[in-house]
Amino acid sequence: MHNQYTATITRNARMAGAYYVMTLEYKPASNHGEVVPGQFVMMRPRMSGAPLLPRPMSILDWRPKAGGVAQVDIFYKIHGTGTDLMSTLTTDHSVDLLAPLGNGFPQFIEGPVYLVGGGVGIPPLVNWARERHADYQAGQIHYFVGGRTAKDIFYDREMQRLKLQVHVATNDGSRGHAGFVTLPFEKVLQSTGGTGTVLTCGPMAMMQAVARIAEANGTKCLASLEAYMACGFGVCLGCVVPDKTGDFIRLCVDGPVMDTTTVDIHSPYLGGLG
Amino acid sequence: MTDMSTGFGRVQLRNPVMTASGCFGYAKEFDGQVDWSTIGGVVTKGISPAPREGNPPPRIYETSQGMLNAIGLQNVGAEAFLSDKLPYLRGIDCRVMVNIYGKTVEEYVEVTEKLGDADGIDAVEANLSCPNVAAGGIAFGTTIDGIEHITKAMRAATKSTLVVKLSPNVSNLGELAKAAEGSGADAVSLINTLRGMAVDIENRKPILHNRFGGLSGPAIKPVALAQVFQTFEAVSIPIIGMGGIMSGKDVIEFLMAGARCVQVGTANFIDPQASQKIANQVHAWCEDHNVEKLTDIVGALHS
Repeated sequence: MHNQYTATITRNARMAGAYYVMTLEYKPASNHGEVVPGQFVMMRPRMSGAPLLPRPMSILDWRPKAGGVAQVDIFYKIHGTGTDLMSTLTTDHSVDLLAPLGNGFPQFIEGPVYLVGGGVGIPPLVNWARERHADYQAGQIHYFVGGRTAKDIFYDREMQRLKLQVHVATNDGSRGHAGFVTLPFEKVLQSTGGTGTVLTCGPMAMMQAVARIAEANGTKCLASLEAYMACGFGVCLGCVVPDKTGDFIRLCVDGPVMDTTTVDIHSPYLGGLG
Repeated sequence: MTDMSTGFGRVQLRNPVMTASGCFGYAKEFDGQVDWSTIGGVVTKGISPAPREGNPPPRIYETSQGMLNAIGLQNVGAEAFLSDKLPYLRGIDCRVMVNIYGKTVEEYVEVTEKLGDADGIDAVEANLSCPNVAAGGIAFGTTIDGIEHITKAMRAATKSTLVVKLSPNVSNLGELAKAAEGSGADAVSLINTLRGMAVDIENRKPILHNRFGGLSGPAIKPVALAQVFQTFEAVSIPIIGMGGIMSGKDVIEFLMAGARCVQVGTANFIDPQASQKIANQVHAWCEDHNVEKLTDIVGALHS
């Protein structure tokens, strides 16, 4: 059950370039429940001049701590007014936090599992791998991670330590395969005959390409989507996406994780956020 | 102890804070978040005769201290409202007003007949001001003839308390409010959102798929206060004020401008407990200022 909390910032560290990780600490209510990889939070700095609406942020990590508190890690990139302000926050600041939100990934995911992420869209995949890697034999999980340059690639070494098969791709070839991450993904998926499940999160064009490849190989594909949203709990109806019957479904409560056989990921309405 | 009670028509409210249509779903979405006994009432999403899918995305966009929305009145329709949504609303400890939308006069009447006198509904609010749909709504709400036509037809269709929700996208709001009053409305509510636009300069196109959207949030509060103030001078029926209310002090401003009660909208998106917190803040302010009866400060700016 989601609730609004006042969270304190215990860390707000620049990883590289415009990428940051923020750790928030709060005291979950008794009805809070387990946090599932793929869920998200809404957060808004408690300060005058902050943007009006909270921002949806996917969860990189969530852990209970001693004393009834919990910590949530947010991986973000400075992109607009909201994330720019986030990057200036220090441990003196507190934020309004609405958590946990959304469906998250299903409990059971058939292997082999292909995680395909790009740029800042990796937190739900990394979170899932950290939580679930022990349920799979070594090599049964692939981490495909893409970015413009080597400086846009994160968590590949940690995923290697967790015995995932890691495939890096950069547009400029400064690390791993030169080109889009969908190239190594397609090659591997064809070599395995398409068995297993794809989990993807990243730029809309990348997820659309991933869904197309998964479909061509008959592979189940779960995409973690994003949209502008005002509330995060199903009321504003701002974050809808079209499903394959033409109905509009709410990303915040029916997603953000959606099966690409349900959501119409190739709809012209899903151009991706500018 | 301040007497916080207020109301409009035959609706008695324990305090002046209601939630605004389109910003509160069907109330059940706030189950466990809001203690219903702390607020005056709720207003449902606009209900049309048949279900509506609403507009394609993008539907919302944040602006300076405000937000644009072009949802397009996505709702479950009158039948599903009665069977799926009303049972929950019947059980909550505050007043319930249903917002009604139609493409034609006949559609307004159809929904009013179905819902107006249903058990659990305390009032109906005619949505004559949605800026985001092609037909109906604001098309009726910007002319005296349109308002009179719909208000009279709805008045004949229900015994329930009837509120007409007005648009700020006009130059003669006072006359339109008078038309509603003269046609049998028990109260007017204002303001609905202001028509606005946001631009994607890289792609040279509007950001919202619908091109235009309704602007809400703190950015519109000064406009709303002026409209409430002017309407207070034009009509004698109660005014339900709204537009960018984020705090108890904002509510006091609306009451002094002439509103008998208020609706909280966008604030619910930012904090699901906003309505409850704001109601508590209004109460605290009144206690601090030794207000005996809340209604004593209604229209204080006009004396």
